[in-house]
Amino acid sequence: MKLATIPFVFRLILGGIFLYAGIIKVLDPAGFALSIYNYRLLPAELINATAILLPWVEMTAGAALLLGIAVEGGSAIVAVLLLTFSSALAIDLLRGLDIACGCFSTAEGASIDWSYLIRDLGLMFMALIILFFDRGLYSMRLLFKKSSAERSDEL
Amino acid sequence: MTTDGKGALVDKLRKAIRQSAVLIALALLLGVASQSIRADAIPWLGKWDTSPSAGSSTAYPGVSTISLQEAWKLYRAGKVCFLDARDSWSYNDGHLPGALHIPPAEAAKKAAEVKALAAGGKTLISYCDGATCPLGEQLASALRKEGVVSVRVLKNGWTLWQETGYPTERQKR
Repeated sequence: MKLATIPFVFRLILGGIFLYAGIIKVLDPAGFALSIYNYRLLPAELINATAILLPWVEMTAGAALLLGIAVEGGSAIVAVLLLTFSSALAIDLLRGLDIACGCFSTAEGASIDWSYLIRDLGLMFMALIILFFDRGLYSMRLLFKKSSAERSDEL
Repeated sequence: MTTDGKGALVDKLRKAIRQSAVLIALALLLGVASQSIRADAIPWLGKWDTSPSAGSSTAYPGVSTISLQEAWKLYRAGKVCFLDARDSWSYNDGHLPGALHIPPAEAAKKAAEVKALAAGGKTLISYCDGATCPLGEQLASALRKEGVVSVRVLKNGWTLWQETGYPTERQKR
């Protein structure tokens, strides 16, 4: 496998994960709000707004990575989100809270443990690889560049 | 890193910030738009109870919680003493194995007994029932004031324990 394909593969994986996670949460905002509440980290006023808006940020960033448009922005958002999620997980694990992750499901599920934190940090590492090393393999933005170059040739 | 390398890195980060701003703006726009068209939209402001009575452990300084798994492990190792903070009717109807019945108001009276258990190596775990019941935290906090600082709270303890199928006890009549 060529070195340039690694960021591309990471883009597909992370893009898919974030698009999926976003869709699941958009479908059930009430369930996701309960997940956020259970973390006991946000003030009451911000819980619903976060439950409504955060999934769209996840989906937009995921779609950007999958399509290869605004890859730097998409990967930066994903990295910051994963850092935030990791911090929330770490705080609640240290507090000993027995809560569901709410990561890929809004239903009550298995309790969080340290493996969730390791997973999120691993995904964050992938996002940083994309941010710094992606060369735009199979990117929509290359199509745009190409067509604009062709246009300027014609002029 | 060379000056060029640094310059390229700064350019990349600038680009990332610029693009992030555009993507987030787009996401917020979609989020707001979806709110206005969907039938099952939740209100922007929810009625979440994050007050001390909701049992947030951070509302009781120094009081920490314990997970069900950890409580179970300690119980299996015989290293735990449960403290039931609920009313006496609920306690008599069923409680965690070996639990002492101590409503928060009786913390001062039972402090010496509890202190002896802690000194004997038992982990003290207080519990109530329901995610919003504050009695477990209140008991831990009240015992803390009496000098028993190691009580941990099993949130929603009775329901969690029972629904997981762990053993319980009934008061002998």
